Amino acid sequence: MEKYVEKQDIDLTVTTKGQRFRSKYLTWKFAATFFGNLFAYVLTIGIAFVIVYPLLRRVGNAFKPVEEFYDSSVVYFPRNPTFDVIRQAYRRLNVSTVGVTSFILALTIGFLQTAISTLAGYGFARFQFRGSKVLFALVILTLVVPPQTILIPIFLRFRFMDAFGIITAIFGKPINMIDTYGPQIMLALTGLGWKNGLYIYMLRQYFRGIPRVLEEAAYIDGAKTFRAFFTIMLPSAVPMMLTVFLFSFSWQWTDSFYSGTFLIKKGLLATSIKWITHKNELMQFNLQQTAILLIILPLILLFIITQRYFVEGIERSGIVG
Amino acid sequence: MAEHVPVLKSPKKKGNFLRNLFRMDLVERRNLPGYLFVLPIIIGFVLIFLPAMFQSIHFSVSEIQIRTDGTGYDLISKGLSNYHKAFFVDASFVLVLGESLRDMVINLPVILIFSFFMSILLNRKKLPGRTVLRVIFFLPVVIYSGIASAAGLTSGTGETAEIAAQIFSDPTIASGGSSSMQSGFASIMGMALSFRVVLESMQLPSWLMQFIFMSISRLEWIIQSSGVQILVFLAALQSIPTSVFEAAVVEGLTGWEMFWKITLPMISSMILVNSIYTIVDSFTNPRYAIHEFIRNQSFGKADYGYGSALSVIYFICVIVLIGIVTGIVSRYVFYND
Repeated sequence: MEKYVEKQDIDLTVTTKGQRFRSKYLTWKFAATFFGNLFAYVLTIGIAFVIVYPLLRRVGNAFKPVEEFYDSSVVYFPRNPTFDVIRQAYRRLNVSTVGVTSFILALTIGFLQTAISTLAGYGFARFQFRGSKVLFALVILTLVVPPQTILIPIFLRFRFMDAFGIITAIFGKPINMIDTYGPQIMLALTGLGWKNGLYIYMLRQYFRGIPRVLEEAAYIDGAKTFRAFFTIMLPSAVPMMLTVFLFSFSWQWTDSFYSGTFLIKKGLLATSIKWITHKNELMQFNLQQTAILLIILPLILLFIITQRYFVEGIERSGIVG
Repeated sequence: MAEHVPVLKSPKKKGNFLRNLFRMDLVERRNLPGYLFVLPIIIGFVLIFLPAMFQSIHFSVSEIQIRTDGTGYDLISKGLSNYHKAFFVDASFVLVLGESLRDMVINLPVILIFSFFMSILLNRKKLPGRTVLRVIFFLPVVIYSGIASAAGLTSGTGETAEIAAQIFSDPTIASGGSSSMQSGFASIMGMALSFRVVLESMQLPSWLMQFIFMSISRLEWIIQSSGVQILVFLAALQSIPTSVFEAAVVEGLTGWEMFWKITLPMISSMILVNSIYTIVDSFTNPRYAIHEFIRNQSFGKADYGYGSALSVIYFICVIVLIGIVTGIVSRYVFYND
């Protein structure tokens, strides 16, 4: 479209420098692009600032010594920056123990959710078995049902865990799975984890976008269903799987909904913030905010490295197609 | 959404339903491995999700007493008294629920319009640096979820938001609190105030004023919950074939006409997707007061029966909301089939 218009605009008879300048810059088209871009920049950069501002503000606060909190002349940049607050917050978070378990749990949940969603997404995209439509409608239902609605039954189920009365028959009473990692892992394994319906939907759409011919060629070459899946389809779905894994990992990393319910005494990084206390209220607030900053710092780094997958993953997920 | 992939279908079967139930033709047999792929999901539904749905309703009409010896819990039927308590006894529930639903209803169109507008800006072909901006707009999806927003990282101390909230929160209060503000924000204050004066002088209907003021005061909230929506709209915009626009230029359409006659219809199906996503996404946002309220009632006070009743009421409200939104939006959706 643009090329077509540009060809019309350039006057080939122009020779002198001034005329060339005029024909290039003093045109309606140039003015429209210029002011359009100016308008777009003012708006988008302003809004991007609103997004980044709270983060920058916290970064500034994290380096402030205690006295400067009471000094109203210090707003953004600390006058005598120290690492005191950061060091304290880091120590209170128990990064060496709680941090490691949080990381391992987030990794595990990420892997499980990605694997289960990939299998299910492929199953829904390529096989029309009996009841597949009903089952997929149920997957969508898990998205639409607020997690609050099924939280209490699920909590009580894991609080008094029993498999068809077998456990009660052997041990005399059901197992208490609260404060173990069991509930979250079991939910991830059965495709009911945090926002799992969304991942299944994304992967299903993605698989539907891959031409069927690829697998048919594999079938003709003698591959069976699972061989075709693992050697042909899986490699071509890696970008989407990575996207899902990144989402799953980072949402588990900051999750306080399931983690706060199933791990009451045992803390994860995300749920142990409220235990950071200080006799000075302002200091406590600042410590907690700095702790959050420390927790999301790895996520920000991860996001900067992998933003291509995050952004393109959503775009190519076929939610649109 | 259109079917892109031809799916093998078996022909309609005739005759006795029961006799056909266990008989399979070739296509059905070929599709059998599908069960293996979705097996974990089936197990999850049968063992966890569906029982939990029914239990939730069952719990809501009973009282749950946890046995002290740890062997389980007893259900005592209470009829509809939990629901009665929610609507007529508990003074705060209806208020909190109404407030959250009102927030959702206000945020939904604002998020849709905002993300649509932003995606059009970010889709400008001649805007250098738009990839960087796109990444920044997506940042909240990753980091402002869960704890970060629960602990107020996104709100509270941001001065711009505070000022906006103070000026725009209630149009009936005279705006006289500017002296207490920090001096550095005086200019923003002034601009916001004059904007308010302009709005008031336009003599719009009061509900519209209320709506505008409310949406401005929740600027941060809106911006931070539209990351995915912006991307979805962007992808939809980029999937419109350029040949359509070329044809339109040849036919002599202006940019304005192109927007209404091509761009908007072509991405209208994404408006539906985005509105449902916005509602679903709000379930996990701790800013809606109802979530914390239900949690406190059930886990804080260990009144699981009452908590179940509240969550069932909330579920019904949300389903009705989704139904209404789908009904309204899908009237205007254009499918290019």
